[in-house]
Amino acid sequence: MDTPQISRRTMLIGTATVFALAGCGLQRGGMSNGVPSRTQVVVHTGPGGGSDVFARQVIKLMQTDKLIDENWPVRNQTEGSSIGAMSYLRGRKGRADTIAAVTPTWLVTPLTLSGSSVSITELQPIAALLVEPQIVAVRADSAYRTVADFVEDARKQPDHLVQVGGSITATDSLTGKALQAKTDTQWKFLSFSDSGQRIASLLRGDAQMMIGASTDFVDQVKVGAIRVIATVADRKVATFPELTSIKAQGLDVGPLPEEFRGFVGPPEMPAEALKYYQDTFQRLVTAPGWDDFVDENGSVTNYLDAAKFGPFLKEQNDSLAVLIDSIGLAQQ
Amino acid sequence: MTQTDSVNTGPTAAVEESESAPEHSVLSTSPVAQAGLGAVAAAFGVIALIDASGLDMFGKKGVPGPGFFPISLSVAVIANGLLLAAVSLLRGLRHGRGPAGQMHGVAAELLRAAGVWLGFLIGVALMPLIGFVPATVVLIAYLVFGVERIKGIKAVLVIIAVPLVAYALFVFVLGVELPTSTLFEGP
Amino acid sequence: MDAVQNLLGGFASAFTPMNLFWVAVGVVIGTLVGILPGLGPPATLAILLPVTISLPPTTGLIMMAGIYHGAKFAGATTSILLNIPGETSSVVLCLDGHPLALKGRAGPAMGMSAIAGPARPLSGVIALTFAAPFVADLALGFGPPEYAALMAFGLLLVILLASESPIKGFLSMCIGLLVSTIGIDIFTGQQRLTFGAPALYDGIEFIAISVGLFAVGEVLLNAEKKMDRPIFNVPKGIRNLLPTKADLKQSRLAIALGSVFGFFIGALPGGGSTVASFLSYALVKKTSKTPERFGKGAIEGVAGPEAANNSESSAAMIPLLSLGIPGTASTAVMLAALLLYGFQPGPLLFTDHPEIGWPVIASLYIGNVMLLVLNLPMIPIWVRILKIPYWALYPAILVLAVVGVYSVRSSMTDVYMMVGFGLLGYLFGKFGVPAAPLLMAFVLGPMAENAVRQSLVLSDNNPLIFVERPISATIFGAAVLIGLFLLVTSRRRRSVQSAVLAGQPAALVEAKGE
Repeated sequence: MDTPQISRRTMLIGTATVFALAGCGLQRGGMSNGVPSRTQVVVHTGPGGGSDVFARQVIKLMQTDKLIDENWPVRNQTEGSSIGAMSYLRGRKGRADTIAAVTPTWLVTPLTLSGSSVSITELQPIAALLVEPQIVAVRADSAYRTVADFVEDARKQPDHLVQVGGSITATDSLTGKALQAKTDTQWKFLSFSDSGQRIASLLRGDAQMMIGASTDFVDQVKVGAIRVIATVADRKVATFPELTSIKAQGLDVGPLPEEFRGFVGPPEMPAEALKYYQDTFQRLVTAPGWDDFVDENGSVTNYLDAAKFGPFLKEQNDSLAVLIDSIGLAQQ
Repeated sequence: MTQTDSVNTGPTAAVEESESAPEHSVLSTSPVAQAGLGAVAAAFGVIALIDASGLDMFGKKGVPGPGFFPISLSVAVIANGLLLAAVSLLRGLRHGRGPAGQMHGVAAELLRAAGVWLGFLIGVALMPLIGFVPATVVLIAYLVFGVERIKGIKAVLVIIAVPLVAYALFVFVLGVELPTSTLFEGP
Repeated sequence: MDAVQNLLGGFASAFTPMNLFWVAVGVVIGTLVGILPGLGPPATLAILLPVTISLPPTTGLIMMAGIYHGAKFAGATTSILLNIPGETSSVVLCLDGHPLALKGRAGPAMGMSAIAGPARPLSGVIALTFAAPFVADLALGFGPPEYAALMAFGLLLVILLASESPIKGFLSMCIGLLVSTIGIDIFTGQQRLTFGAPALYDGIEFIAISVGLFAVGEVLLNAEKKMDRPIFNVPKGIRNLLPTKADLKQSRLAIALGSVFGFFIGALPGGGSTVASFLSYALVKKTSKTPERFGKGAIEGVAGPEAANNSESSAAMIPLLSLGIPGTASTAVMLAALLLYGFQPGPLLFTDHPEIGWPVIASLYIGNVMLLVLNLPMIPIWVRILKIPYWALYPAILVLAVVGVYSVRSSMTDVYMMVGFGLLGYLFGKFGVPAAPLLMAFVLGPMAENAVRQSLVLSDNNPLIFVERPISATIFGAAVLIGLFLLVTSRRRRSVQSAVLAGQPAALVEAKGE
């Protein structure tokens, strides 16, 4: 019968076609003089998460300002709270077409894992763009007007007051821990993975204090449900210009963790690509529209180029390591 | 997934049953098989218990700690598994084992399903090695030629078409990532 | 009244030709993209975000509503036809929808899934507009103890769901709960049951389990015998492709129950569509006069959860638009869209930007109706898929499963998990262990545990907190009462079942005659 012969020949042709096609699924988007036409931006959150939204906003701004022509795709690599994203980026060694949006999570997660095989020091810092200053908030009818008030009350009722926040290794939790350590007080920490439930907790009275970003509180403050009482870092915040910092309120507790956002690239990134990204980001933060974007989000521009971002990351890492150790999570 | 009608399974009954729900199988009532299931479940519970025992049962002030639920649940699984094993064995002792002839067709069925599953596993393992499309072609070829023994032009069509269509649709049209091969990717 | 006027105004502005066009496009694209398992509404919305963002805000948001409905329907389609749960809320549809397809009633099942939403009386619209402030307050009052009570209720329903073989059902549930603890503990940051594997830090991905247990498991079970003919019956004639009047009548109660239940769960932040559909399925089954039909193709088993899904999606908008708190993953993506447009969702959205808020609510209904109009005629085409010989169909299912699971997190580990759970699904099927309790417990488990631990942290380990707070006490009380009631009434059926388990032919005859 003819059938087996036809099958074999067709199989051969088919297989050849298939291998040829498979080969083309690899590098989409070429390069011209070191400038990739289409860059993939890796984030460690899912769609709608903090880094994801940030990356998309940045890409959109760059398109509006005509800094880039193409639409850069966002790749959600959510495995392992940044471990997956870091590994992926490390795996793209030497390539110019992938960058990633980083936050303190990229520093904290490896610190809490023993034998973590990947760390941010292996990656190439590109630029820091901004910090999201943390704000301390209480319910509008609360008696606390400054952080000092809260700390005083905490001292009188050890381990009774409640701070609500996210995961225990998140920036807000670590800031709370640092405050407790430096003022020798104790209060409880309530974790919710859902940010909406955190606000609800505060409004309901289950928690007395919450540390978060301006965007978490802006609307609630406008309707008068929440009052913000201090900024954590020694910076002015555009959304709440009248706020003073913890330090100004008399609590000099030294440096506290900051929520920063920046971009890194794979190891051994080609020099022209690094320069290209740096320049693009620098033009982004000086372009019109950036300041409005930052102000609307309650952030503060903190542009650091590659040379300065590296040491910044190291410094943050060191202080975070101390904090992680203090909550007993170092090298689990 | 109930077991109401599975008492009288045998090769012929199985064919009729297969139209509505092929899961009714003699294994779901055989006391020995059920006891085995219980034992295996209990074993898993033990593994989980050993791993979870490193965690604290209680936190500050006796609040349930990270280990509380994993440990309690592994104990529950162990207890459940043992209970199932015990009940099945008791039932087996009381009513005797099921008619011997039923186990006949079971081995062949298991082998066939195992063949498909192993092929699937290997196909998936190949994907990061040789790329999505080649690995899928291999997998489907194995399934169609090897397991199902379908020959002819229609078979070849399916083997080629499915991977290509999947690739075209998902990668190009939807922009979804598919496993790419480390061999081809290169530095 | 203000609310009605605003809503009507919302409908008016939503009803422009351009918006209607884009919502139709949204439904079609949403359906096409949502077919892929793992790409549920949230991921579909995220993928198409660049497209929707380029449109003016109202239109873009309305298009998103269309995409949302399309993707949900697509998820229902794959669940019913192929036993591949498209995403979390369509898992329940596999339980009765797929058996319906096997019996040759795929069309009615899919039709019911599309109709169950708008079939609700208009009270849904009214409920949303008037009840919104009340519901928002209630949602705010839902703290950890209340969630714990709700989850306890849910788990109770899950246990009762497996009344046919209680020990095995309980085992399935406990395994689900145990597996749900895998990952990093949010309270202490410690790893639990991860065995040192980074891929397990975030726990096991839901889609890997659901697709593995249901879709792959079913394929393996079918693969036992050589199948060179279609295993489905596909009846001819258009009449058989849509739900009959009898179906609709039978499902009335289920739809009502599902809608109300789904509405409340949907309004809770973090409630989620999975919980709503699971719990309404369990509730509908348990309150039915003939619960033994469930799992084998009871049309109410499709109608109830789908009605719940629909209510849930509108209810999820309440916390989003009034408090700025997304209730589900899909609303989280819509929140992202609003942010990208430059709007801050929150209590002020309705007052500052009524031209956004009300049309969005109106668009949910428009999207639903558009879905009906566009997709009902397509059902016969979808049903044709079942005519493909199984030997060609099931490799495609396996490939689809791989792509779907991989697309969620670009993780090969997830794919391996799926393969592993496929084996488990096969073994479960062979040994007669119900798979649904495992999956439901897997979803409810983390919420239950977190809620209990949070409550005890708040109360300094005083368990009385669960009864001290009014809402929580009410739910617990209701759970206990309903649990007792259902336990007692099902005891009669239980004695028959245990006779069957013992393999006594006489009892079997009696059972069949019942």
